[in-house]
This record gives sequence, structure tokens and C-alpha cells, in this order.
Amino acid sequence: MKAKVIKNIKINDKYGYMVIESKELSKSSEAGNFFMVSPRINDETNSDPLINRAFAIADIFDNDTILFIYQVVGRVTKTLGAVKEGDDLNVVGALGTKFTICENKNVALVAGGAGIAPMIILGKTLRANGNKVTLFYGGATKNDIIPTDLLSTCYDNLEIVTFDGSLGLKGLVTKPLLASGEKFDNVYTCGPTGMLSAVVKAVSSIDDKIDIEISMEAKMGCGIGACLGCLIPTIDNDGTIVNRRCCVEGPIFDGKKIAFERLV
Amino acid sequence: MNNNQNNNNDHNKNNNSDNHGINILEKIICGIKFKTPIITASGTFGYGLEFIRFMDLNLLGGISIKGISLEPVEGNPMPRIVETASGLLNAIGLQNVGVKSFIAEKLPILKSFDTNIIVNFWGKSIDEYLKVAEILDDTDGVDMLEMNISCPNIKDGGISFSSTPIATSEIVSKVRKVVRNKPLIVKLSPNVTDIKEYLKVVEVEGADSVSLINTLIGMAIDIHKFKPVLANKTGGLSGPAIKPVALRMVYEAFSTVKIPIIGMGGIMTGNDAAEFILAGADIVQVGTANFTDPSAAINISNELRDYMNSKSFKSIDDFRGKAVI
Repeated sequence: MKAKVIKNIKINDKYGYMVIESKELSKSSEAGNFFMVSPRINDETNSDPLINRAFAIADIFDNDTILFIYQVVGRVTKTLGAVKEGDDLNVVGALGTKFTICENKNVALVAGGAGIAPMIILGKTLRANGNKVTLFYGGATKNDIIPTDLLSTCYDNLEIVTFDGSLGLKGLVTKPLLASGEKFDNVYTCGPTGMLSAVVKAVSSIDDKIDIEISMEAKMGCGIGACLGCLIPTIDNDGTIVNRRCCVEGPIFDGKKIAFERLV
Repeated sequence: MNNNQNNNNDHNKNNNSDNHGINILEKIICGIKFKTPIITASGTFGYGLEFIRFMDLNLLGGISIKGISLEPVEGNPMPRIVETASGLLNAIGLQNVGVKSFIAEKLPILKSFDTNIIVNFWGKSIDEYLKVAEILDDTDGVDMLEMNISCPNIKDGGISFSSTPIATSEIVSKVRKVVRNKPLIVKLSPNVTDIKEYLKVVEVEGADSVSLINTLIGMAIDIHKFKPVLANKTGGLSGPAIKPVALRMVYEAFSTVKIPIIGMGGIMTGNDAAEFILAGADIVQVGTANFTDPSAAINISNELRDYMNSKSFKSIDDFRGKAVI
């Protein structure tokens, strides 16, 4: 289906965001869902690049527009950087599982780099459900932190952390999470695999009863469960490792059930 | 890329009939009627059920189910896929739920759709091929069997049976004897020096149809990690990158065998499908395109009809093999 580009803003050399219009996509999307974007803009028929790319739903406005954030890393995201207002994207979605929305709890969101995207709509939804939301947002440098005006609706407290100290606290995002001393009821996280694993360890070290939901990332061939290219190793109740499709059984997983040591 | 959601709105477009009520796309092979010569290819369409949300399966000529084996198979370690120039390299390793689960859990839902169900199958040994073929041959709701002797991605995943014409001859002749009720298609590997030898052998041994091509063995290397990207090291290349190779082989098949030819390899548009039919294919399969647009097969079918109308072709046979000189 088509989605019209309303806005395409370059944040810096590394990140951009787009607002696209699609009633269908907006209506079917919830916090945690993702969608696929074709590298063929408008009615182009080029076959290189070929495969669609997955993006998290970052926000929904007025039931008809979607915000998503992209990192300029490869050929497709470079193509997206050049897209203009009024262009048509070809999209498939909404896809995947959604976050569990708790009510009236003290909640931490932990985001790393581009992992901020699904946290925006998640934080907004959690706050609408009476939760108090603290967002721990980390990046390698200040260029990994998107402008906070995109985030304003999604937190009650914000803690920015950069590895080089160029913005906010210096260090890893788990540092203030551990140091806060606050008792969170639920934790949600999205970011690089190493960070996710560290967040699960840190939260479990505070209290292993705290629920952690993770939005996982994997290279996807189709996004709809057909290609079997995006498996995530998960731990079943009896301890066996079961591969699950990130695109259909995920991208939202129970953080304690991810077999991180098996992830490539 | 119009996925799904409004496929049913335009009835004139979707029932393949012209003004006189004749469906110009209809094609019969092996006694089976296909309402369109567009089938979704094994390994790119799951068990079909994954696509129900995105398209009306009733509009497909058929679905070739992901390769089924006697027992469930977990497949290869990750990474399993990597994109290359105009193509996709995969090494899934024939992951599947096994024939029992397929028949118990997937087929009952598939049967409710008005489309042909072609079950692609394989084994790790001749014995496994025979067992799974026998089971499927006796299963209601399975319209055709497609024997995979050409998966490049697992050790003993069938490719050893397409590595020499003698090995192909042996396995096809044995499977032919146990498949008594349903048409048997043999899917060939392009990873051979002379495809014609294999085509002849498959026809001589009694296959009802031949499908080609499976993926081409390829590799991508991570220049930062200094190793192949895929855990399996090599993978099968599909997508538009392989279309010229596939077309050449279908073209060769047309002059080599009399049995119906099912062509595939990088079909993304109706014009691509037309090329395969002009090269000699009776029907075609759409593979990697299903990943880039879940409703690709239906769009391709509509585009093929538009092409036929533009050339005043009244049937597939009007132009099948027309480019072969």
C-alpha cells in the first residue's frame, strides 16, 4: 500500500525522520509494531536495492500519519534520505507483536541509538494509561540522540547518557538505571544487542521479578513470516532454545527469554 | 506495491475473464486447471497461510508449499539471508514442520481456498524421499507433488541427487513408482554444466512436469569480519539477478522435453512472466517478489493479462515458446 511523505527531515549525518500519511497503516498500528518500506519510491521498478527494510512505528498522529526514524547506514536508508515531500512510499504493515501496556505503574524505558523509535509511542501510550515513565536514552555521542522535541510526550523524567560524555551523563545507559535507586515495576528496552543484554542483566540484578519487554531487531527478508531469515533464539519454559521469527512472534519479546549468547 | 487490503475491490480486474467471459490466463497442465499461470514458488510463500492477510489466495494459479520432509527440520544457523545486487542469497536449510504437521495443521486451512496446492518435498535419503512422497500422494487436498532434488543449502538436502544425470535418474525413477495418484514435477538445479542432460533424464524416468530453476549457489563476504556473511558460508541466489540464467535454461528446456515446463527465476512483473512463457514455460512461479510485495503474484497475473491483451493473445499457448527459434 502507498503512504504519502508529509515530512522528511535530516537530523544529522546519521539520522533522519519521516512523517508519512496512511490511514490504513495508522489504524492498524500500536506501540511495538513495525512496518516494511520498499526501496522503490513512487512507481519506480528498479530491482537494486531489492529487499524491503523494517522500521519501528515511532508515533501515530491523528489516526492517519506515522512517524518513523531511520539511521542512514545502507543503500536503502540513503535512498530514504533523498525522498521528498509528496513522494509515495510503498509500505507493508502494521506487522509484528506489540508491547504489553501496564497501568498505573512506575516504568523505565531504556533506549539506545535508533532504539529510541518504538519508545516514543510506547512512552506516550504508557503515560496515557496512568504510568509514570522514566526514559533512559543512550548513544555513543550526542549525534546519536535525536532532538528532544520529538520525545516530549513520551516521558515524565528523562536521563540522557552518551558514551563520550558529549551530551548528558558520560558512560553506558545502564549506569543511571542502576544508580537511580528507583524501584521500577516494568522495564521496556530497545537498542543494540549488547545494550539489551546489559539492560536485562542490570534489571535482574535489582530484582529478578521486574518484567522486561524487549523490541528485538533482525535483518528481515520479508517481514511477514515467510522467509525464515530473522530468527531470534528464545528460551522456553523447560529451558530448551527455540528459534522464533522476529517479524511474527516478535519483535517484542520477554527480555528474560532471549538466549543472548546464541545471538550472532 | 499494493499489498493486500483492497485486492477484492476491483472484481473486473480480478476475475481473469475478458468481455466474452473467457479467461485468457487459464492453462491446463498435467490435467490440472490453473486459472492463471502464476504460482507462488516454494520457500518464498511459507505455507501460504502467512499471506492470507495480504491477498486473496483464491486468485492464485497455485501455491508451491515450502519444501516438506518426513520429519521436522530446524534449518541452518543465522545469519541465513543477505541481500546482494538485485538478488537475495539465502541459506535457510529447508526448515519445515514435517509432513505430519503440514497435513494436520496447514493443509486443512489451505484446502478451503480455490487454488492448486503443489507440495514441494525432499529427503535426506532415497528412503525418506519415497516415504514422504507416498504420504503426500495419498493425501486429499494435495494437487501436485514437486520433488526438490536441488536445494543447495543443506548437506544431503537433495542436491547430491542432481549432481549427476545418473543420480537424478535413480531418484526420479524410484519416486515415480510410488507416486501413483498425482502429477509429479521435478525441480531442477541450475548448478550443472548442461541442463539438457538432466531434463532428458527426468522426462525418460516419467516425470509429468519439470520446474526450473532452483537458486544458484553463491556467496557474500563480510570485508570487516573477513568471513562469509552466511553461517552456512554459501547460499542460494534468487531474484532479478538470476533471471537471464533462468530464461536461458527454460529456453533450452523447450527444445529438449515435451512435458510441461514450469519456469521461474527473478520474475517481478507481468512482462518478466511473459518472457518466460515466450521462452517456453507453460506456467511460471514467482519467488523473491513475494518478499518485496506480499501481493506480487496477483499483480503479476494482472500485468500478464494486460500484456496478452496488448498483443491480442487469446491464450497462453498463443505465445508459449514463440521466442524459441
